[in-house]
Amino acid sequence: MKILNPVGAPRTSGERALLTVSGIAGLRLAILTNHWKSMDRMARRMIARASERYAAVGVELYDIPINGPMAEAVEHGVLQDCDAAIVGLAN
Amino acid sequence: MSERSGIAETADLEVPDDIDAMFDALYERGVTDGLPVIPPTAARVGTMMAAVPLDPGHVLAELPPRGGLATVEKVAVNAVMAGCRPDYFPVVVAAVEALVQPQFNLTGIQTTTNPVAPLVLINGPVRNRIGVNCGAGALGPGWRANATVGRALRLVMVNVGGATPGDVDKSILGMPGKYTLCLGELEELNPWEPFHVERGYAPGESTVTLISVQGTQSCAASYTEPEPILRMLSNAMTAFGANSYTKGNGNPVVILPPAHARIFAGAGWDKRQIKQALFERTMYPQAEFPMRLLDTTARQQIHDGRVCICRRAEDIVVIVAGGPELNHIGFLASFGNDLAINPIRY
Repeated sequence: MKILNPVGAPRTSGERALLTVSGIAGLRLAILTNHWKSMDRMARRMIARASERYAAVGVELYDIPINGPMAEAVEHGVLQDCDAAIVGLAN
Repeated sequence: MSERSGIAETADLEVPDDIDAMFDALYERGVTDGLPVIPPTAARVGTMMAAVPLDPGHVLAELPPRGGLATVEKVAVNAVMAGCRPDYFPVVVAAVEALVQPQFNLTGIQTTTNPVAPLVLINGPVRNRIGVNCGAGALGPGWRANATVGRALRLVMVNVGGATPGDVDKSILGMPGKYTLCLGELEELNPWEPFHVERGYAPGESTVTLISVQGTQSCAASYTEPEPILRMLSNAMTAFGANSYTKGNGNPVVILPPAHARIFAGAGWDKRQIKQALFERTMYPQAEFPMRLLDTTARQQIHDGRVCICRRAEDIVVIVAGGPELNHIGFLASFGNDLAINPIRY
């Protein structure tokens, strides 16, 4: 028998489609942390290595809530000032 | 692939007619919860979608972490699989929409190591219209609406949101509530305002509320006065391994059976007073926590050296449900995210 597929796919185009990057060389990197201490520890290491090992041209650290969306000002800053972002921690 | 609104269409599936082989095929494909499902034929899905005046391609939500589009059709497919009747579908639609309210933090719920699942609380006239159990055995098993509405939500979270158990869903142990966790509030025997009225809805409106919880716990409290009930209940609630202590947030849930609710109301207590008493009695001395636990986040609520169960007393959810006996109260510890409430519009 033929049945409909229960799996939903993400958008493939348009402004809401998620884009990924294959590397951060030459990019300005944003790191968003909700301050789980494990995320803060990871962020410190990423900041230290982003430029020296992965050739990012800059790293900015942003605060986000422990749950829920980032503030509009933070979102604007990330989009305005950075080329790629690492977001953590979801839980 | 259709470029309509950038939505990739997923092909129909050909499965064996034999019901055992059909279930095996879908199970191997990873689109079930491990239990047999109803095959979502075009006819069944069409009947399901007819319960709401929405286009099949209407996007109800984009579900993390995959970003899958929960269209009316996709949600209907999963609702059929779960065993929902068509008259349950408006509730499922409202629940899916509620998933992506920002404060609910679905991304965290879908990917955490925690056993969290959404508790689906239904209020208003829809409960009686579709047969939601609010009384004895409200948390299961046995009632089709309770069982399948919660199940449909989980299937959507997995098949559309991408939270594959044991893979993207990092839950270390899982939890039975991740199959289904759904009840109605017993508004008819609630001596106070129902939950949705407390949240600003009219009594005649129907709502669905999602609360992220870590499991269920029973508290034996066979007492006829408020004080010993509060003492037993607050002891059961002071499980400081719950995320709400760690994150200083969320909505711990207390389910008072009607007999317990009558005792409090008869002694002049309202829900606000019950919440305040529980909030104060569940505070735990910071000095007695293992330090490593409180090193996890910087967001705990600490009052005078005591760690609070959540941000404030009014965030504790108190609802009335269950059987008539004066015995077990239900408590559901919070994952530490805020609840989401949505009207059922159709």
